Amino acid sequence: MDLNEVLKSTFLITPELSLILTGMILMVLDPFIRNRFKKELFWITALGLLIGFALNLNRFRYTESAFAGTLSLDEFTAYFNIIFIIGALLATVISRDYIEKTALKHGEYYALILFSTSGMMLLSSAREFISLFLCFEIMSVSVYILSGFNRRSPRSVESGIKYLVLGGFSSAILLYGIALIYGASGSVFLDEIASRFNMENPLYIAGTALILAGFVFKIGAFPLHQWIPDIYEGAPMTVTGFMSVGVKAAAFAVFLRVFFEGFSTLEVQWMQILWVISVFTMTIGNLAAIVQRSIKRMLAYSSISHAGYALVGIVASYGEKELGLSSVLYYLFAYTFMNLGAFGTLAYLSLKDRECEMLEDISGLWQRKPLVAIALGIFMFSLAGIPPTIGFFAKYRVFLSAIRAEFYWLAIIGILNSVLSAYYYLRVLVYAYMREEQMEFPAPQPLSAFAIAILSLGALILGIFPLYSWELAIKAAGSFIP
Amino acid sequence: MLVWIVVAPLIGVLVNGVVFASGLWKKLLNGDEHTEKRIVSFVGCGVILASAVLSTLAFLKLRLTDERQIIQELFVWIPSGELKIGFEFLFDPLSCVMSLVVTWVSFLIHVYSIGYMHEDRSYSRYFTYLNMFVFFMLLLVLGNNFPLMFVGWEGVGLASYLLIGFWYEDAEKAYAGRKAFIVNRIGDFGFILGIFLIFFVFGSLNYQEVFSRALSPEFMDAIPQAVITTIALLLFVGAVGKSAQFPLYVWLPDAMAGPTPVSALIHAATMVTAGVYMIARCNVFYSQSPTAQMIVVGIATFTAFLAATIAITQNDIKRVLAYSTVSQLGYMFMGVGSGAYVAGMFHLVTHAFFKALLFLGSGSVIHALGGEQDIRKMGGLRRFLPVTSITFLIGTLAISGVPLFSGFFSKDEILGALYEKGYGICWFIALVTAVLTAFYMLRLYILTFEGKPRITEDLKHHIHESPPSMLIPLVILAVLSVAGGYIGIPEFMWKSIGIEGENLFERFLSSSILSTEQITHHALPHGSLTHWGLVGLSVLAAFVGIALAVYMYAITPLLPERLTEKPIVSILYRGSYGKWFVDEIYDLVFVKTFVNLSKLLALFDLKVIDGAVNGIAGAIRALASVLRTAQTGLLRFYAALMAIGVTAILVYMILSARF
Amino acid sequence: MMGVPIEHYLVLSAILFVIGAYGVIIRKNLIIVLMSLELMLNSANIAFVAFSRALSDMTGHVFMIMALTVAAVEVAVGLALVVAIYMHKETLDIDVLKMLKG
Repeated sequence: MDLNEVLKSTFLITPELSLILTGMILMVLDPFIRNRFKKELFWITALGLLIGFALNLNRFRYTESAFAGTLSLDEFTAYFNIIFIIGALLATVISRDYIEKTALKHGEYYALILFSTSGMMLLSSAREFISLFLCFEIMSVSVYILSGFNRRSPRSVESGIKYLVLGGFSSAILLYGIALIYGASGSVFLDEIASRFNMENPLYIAGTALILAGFVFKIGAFPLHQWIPDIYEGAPMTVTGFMSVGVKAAAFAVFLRVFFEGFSTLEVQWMQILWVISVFTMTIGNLAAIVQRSIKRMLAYSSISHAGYALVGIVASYGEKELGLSSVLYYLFAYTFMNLGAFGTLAYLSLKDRECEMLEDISGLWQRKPLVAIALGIFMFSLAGIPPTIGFFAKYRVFLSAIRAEFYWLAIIGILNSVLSAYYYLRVLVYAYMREEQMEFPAPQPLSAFAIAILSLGALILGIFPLYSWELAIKAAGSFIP
Repeated sequence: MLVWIVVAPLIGVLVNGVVFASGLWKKLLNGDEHTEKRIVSFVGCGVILASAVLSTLAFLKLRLTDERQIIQELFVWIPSGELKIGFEFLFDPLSCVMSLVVTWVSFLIHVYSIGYMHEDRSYSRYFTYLNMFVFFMLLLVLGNNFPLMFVGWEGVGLASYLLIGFWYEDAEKAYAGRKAFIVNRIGDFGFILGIFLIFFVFGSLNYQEVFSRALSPEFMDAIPQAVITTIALLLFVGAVGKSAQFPLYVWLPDAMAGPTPVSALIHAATMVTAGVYMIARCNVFYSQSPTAQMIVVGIATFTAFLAATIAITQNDIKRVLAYSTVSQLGYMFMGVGSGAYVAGMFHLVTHAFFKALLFLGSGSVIHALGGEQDIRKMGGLRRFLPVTSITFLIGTLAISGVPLFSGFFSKDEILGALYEKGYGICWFIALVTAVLTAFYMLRLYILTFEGKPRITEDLKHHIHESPPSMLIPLVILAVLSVAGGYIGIPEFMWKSIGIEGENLFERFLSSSILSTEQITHHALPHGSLTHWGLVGLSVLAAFVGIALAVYMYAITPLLPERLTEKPIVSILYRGSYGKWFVDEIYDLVFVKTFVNLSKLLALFDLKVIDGAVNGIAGAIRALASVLRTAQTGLLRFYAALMAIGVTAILVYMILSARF
Repeated sequence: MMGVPIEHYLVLSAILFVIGAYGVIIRKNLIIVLMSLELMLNSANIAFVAFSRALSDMTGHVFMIMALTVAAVEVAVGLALVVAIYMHKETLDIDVLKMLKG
């Protein structure tokens, strides 16, 4: 690998580099800036993310591999990077006001978001296990710190340590799986592993199972979902929003890459497992969400069930490769808008020492802040999959692909589940619209309001005009299918 | 070009909303408020002016085209199977008239708002909402299919709701906003059902396709008459909600809680007339269903009369105007309902001018008096507010139907149409309503501007005429209230003065009225003598009303009070003053019933559903609780569960790969 | 050295992995839980190095070094959080962390 190639590869990852560099600049600047100006570091973060976003758009035009084939930069990568950057950018916008309200530290927070996002971005392009594992950990460790970021709050710290221990546990399982695959194939590159895959060798089977478990943990699916509610509930609201969309989407991206490219020989087996997993994931998430009084914890459980819906798309891709995969990609895109929006709205409504998380905390919202109430309504409708929102279209595509692929039972269970889920989403709206005001609401925060407006308009407009974003998902899935 | 008419206000929404109303300018850019207001006014009015100029250009272009319509298709919106809905705009004479009225009147009211809202804290929010309203209204008017119209329909409802509750700190005003919202939902429900039925019957939602199918005899023979009647009535339910007809008119008077320019624009000149536009647009359905026509005319006549009887005793200047709006909307529906679509649209146009003028005039008075709306505390304001009083008088005469003012021509056409189509009773009631209209409007004018001032001495010194930005729109609207009628002078009048003229408005609009049943004054057999006789009666009605009002309030000011002491008059007076207790009746019949019903249902839910269907609900809840207890919060327990999960995956994988 | 077959290393690493996992599950002291996590990660490293040697391929070594770094990072963050926990609870007992549940 000569210098030229290194330069070329470096040039190819400029979107990721712009995030990493911005993060480093923030770390360096942070100590030198007076406290009251620290919140303006946000603008540097936003600039870095926007540059990354713009550079990333370029990737829709080519497919290249960088660093001797360890990274593949294609439309699949570009598509996921759009999700990550949109999620990160809007989460930071909302975070700025949230951090200001809760008196956290600006500089480190933004840097961690940037590092975590760059980890996700590289993860979606990794085709080799060393860089894959490293990016996986860059992403995860940054998020561990973020979930324990509010050191004054015992709940936040508890969430951080729980995430760290359980995340480390799953990383170890993943690493052990990778070791077994490496031992069996003698390579860490996905294409080489695929070509040497041998059903007779138990190391392959065990390795695949352990890697599957590692990813299932990060996706937050049954049977490794127990961490999600606790950690989502404890983490600061904006962090929860960020990780619920970013980390989940990244885990899906790497899952798709590894299993379709590396382990497709064993497809029948892991698809069977995924069928079971997706059914349990949807159902358990929904059932547990019903009895929650806390909106934040309810959304945590609902994010489990949403992972289940997305898994339906993967299972469907067994029969309908293109439709199934693009519906998964689209689902994650849609999920970014509605879930980040929901958490963002709660962050918007949080006060200095009281997070807006219980159902009672939003009663009377309609009278006091009608526009916020409308935005919340759009997010809840979207999460419940009621037209004309983006959530409806995404669910429609996922279940349609399941039906086309003749997984009728899966589709039926999924639809029943999403009907069930309407109950607890709409209950939020009952409190927001029909109850009398009980709590005080914070003063308007223009920037956050702007971000929430974008998210809600996105969830609505992309639901009314879904075709363009849908075509993007088809293109991304197309570049990925061999 | 068409798309820019619609997009221009949207640009205003984005600029004013994102930069100013969001607080970006004030908080982040540290911009000062003075500059903010200047930019907001400039952008807010500028985009509407652009839209108005573009509409005018489109109008000129329309006159040159032969097909009499311009269609612009932007992109396909929902392309699923049979249902192909494009995002397309239609500019035909009907939408042309609407968009000209909407844009120009909006522009004047925007300019007026600069002066009226100048002191308000939420200046930029106000202009954002107002621009948003214009955007949705134009979408409603220019859309080329029912879904687009519905989007606009809902959008103007939202804007209206936001503006009624603009001063949401005031609980009563916020309540008025919600009332409007809820009442309108009832209407929208009918409207959307109507749209579904249209799609079901005609297999399309595009205007050209639906109407051409509805006009072809082969197609219509297969469809029962009752279906068309149902469609027409469902659409009318939507119109009843939006255009404040009986029984859903109750939200409009309360909607006056919003700023006065909003009342002028949304709740008088434009939005509330959307229902009239919709019926004129769907004239094909109504012309084929005499039953629907009869119901429309009946409800419209009743509404016009009822609202007029309430208006004669109200003391809040805006409330009088609000009820008069309800009443005038009734006239419009009489027109479009009896098949005189052009006459209805004509009254819509002239009403937009003089009612906007009257509302803005009342706003000028309220502004000058520092928020006072009670006419009992006004009087003699002519000396202090000369321009306002003259323009208000012009508006009053126009709405009363005094000859040579615009209201005369349009109201007369509707009355003529009613008579000609054989709605004799309705014609008579409408005539009586015309007397009432002239009466209450003159009463309003006299109590406000004439006689002895009843304002406090303190106020007398502070009272001042409004700034030019408010007066100029008043003057322009006053001119339009007079001149607006001359675009539609009927044929017989031309003939009587010996000119071979024709009704310009009617000729222009005729290509939009697709139904075979043609417009008024052609079939009338008796020649122009009957015409003139009808005109004479309505002029007489106007003057009787005016004379009564002048006698009662200007010449013998003590008479009204003495009259109310008489037993019969007193009962009528109290009934009218209490708005015939319709709100209270609704409260009793609907709200209370609803509350009781829901209590009953709750009981039912508790005893029956929970008892009988305990199987499902209970099982789900029990299952959920089990899942919940698994979530112990103990880290070690989770790790153990995870270990079991991993082992399960491992075992399953090995087993399924091996066997 | 040459005489020790690859299977032995694998069995060793598997045993260490299970001991680590067992430690995470049964130990109550946070520090020891973190140590058990280390053990799990390092058992994988043993497997990597053993495979690397058996395959005469250097990739396994590279992976092992990277994985060690990651393990160090995790423990560093973990210890920081342990300090934060101790400030709140004044104990390192892992079972007191049950504010979040249900």
